[in-house]
Amino acid sequence: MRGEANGGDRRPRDEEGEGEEEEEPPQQQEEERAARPSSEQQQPVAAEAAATTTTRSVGYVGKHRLSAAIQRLDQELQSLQDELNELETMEPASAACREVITSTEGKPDPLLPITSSPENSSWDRWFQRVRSSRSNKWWQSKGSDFA
Amino acid sequence: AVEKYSKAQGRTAVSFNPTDLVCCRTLQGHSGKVYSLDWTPEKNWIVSASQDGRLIVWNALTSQKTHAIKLHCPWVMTCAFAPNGQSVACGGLDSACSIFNLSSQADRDGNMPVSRVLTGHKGYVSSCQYVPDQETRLITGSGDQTCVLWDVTTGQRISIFGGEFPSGHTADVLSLSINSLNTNMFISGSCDTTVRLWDLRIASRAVRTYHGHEGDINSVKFFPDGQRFGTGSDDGTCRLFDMRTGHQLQVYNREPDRNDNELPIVTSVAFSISGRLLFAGYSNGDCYVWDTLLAEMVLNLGTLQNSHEGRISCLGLSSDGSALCTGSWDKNLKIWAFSGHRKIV
Repeated sequence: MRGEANGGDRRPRDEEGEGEEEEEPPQQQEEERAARPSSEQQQPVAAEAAATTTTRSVGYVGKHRLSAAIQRLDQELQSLQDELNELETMEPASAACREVITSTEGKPDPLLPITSSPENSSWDRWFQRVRSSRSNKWWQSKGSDFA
Repeated sequence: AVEKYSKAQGRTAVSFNPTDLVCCRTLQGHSGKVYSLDWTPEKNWIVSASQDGRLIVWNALTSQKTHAIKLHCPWVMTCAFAPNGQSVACGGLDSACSIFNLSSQADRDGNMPVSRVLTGHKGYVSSCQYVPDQETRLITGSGDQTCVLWDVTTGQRISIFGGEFPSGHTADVLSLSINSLNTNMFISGSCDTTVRLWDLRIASRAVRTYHGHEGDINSVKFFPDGQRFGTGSDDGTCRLFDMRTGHQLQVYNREPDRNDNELPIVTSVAFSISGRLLFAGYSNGDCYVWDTLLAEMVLNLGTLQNSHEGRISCLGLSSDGSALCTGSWDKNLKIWAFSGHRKIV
């Protein structure tokens, strides 16, 4: 990486090690604060301020990246949520299911008790009197019980 | 999925009164189990094939037998009517498909001359269907894992679907159905538990393979809109698939037996002319009428008066959809029609 070999240009190195530096300082600060006795608070404050300033210049760049990453994740979450909502409201509707329903409607079906027009009179030929050449077989009219 | 969507749309199941669908004819004449049946596209004729080694052609309206053809090979499994109603085809364990011209004269023993024999399959012929509006082309499905498109006039194979090509079935083909709205497409059901979609113009590969069933697929039938199809399987279920996307749209599951017996297998399926009803024949003699949209069994023809006394092996709708014919191992065929009060909207 640029500048690494001769130690110049701190920025790339900072960016590289940024993650670690970001996480540790706040913790270190707290530990330091806890370790120091209360009577010596003024000194730690100054030290703290100095440390904070340093951390701030490094951490600020880190926070930008963090916030960008969080923003990206937020967007992903939002689109996933949108998709889930869509699925929930559409579920179980798909184009195919819709088509199955619409294709069964509007078609006259002689075997259905309720069906679209037009009715065809030949549908009932199975219950009409038929005389065959060999015998006088006939069937009872529509609606009666069958023996 | 169709069930949930239909309910969400406020659809309610078809409701039959007890005497709405009745058995209005019983066709008696076979002396063995009935294995297959097919209606003519125009008249009220039915051809049936039986274990007794005969094809019988019936006038379903009068119950008369117009032809009784004694087959050279008695082990017949399938039969089909030609679109013009003048020929019938059949096939079985002889691995061939025989064509009979119904205007030929049979001799005294009922032997009718074969007008053509289609040979080439290396296994039994389980299913056959003429390409609609084409007297000269016929498709067969076979135990040799392939389907074949034949030219009936020359007896030649035009195309072979599967076999050497990797996208073919990997087990016996048991059933097939040609799309009546696009006669270049047909589907085949197999012991490999899949259905495959074929384009007559492209024999080299299946257009699509449909997974879902867990057993042999005994019956496949296109939905009336030509965009979906129904299946029946040894796994005891019927299913509805979308042809274009491959999605399994609905499963039609029976209630388990109270005595915890094995689920009866589905032997045959057919849709009513609108597609609202799915008829399914089972090995225990049941014939369920499923509401296709609500996935509810709305009637069981097997419990009605005059029902079959054995396995339903085959079923089919007349061309105008006014009658259902069922064939059974009880040696009979039965015609069912709507005799109740019809409400027209």
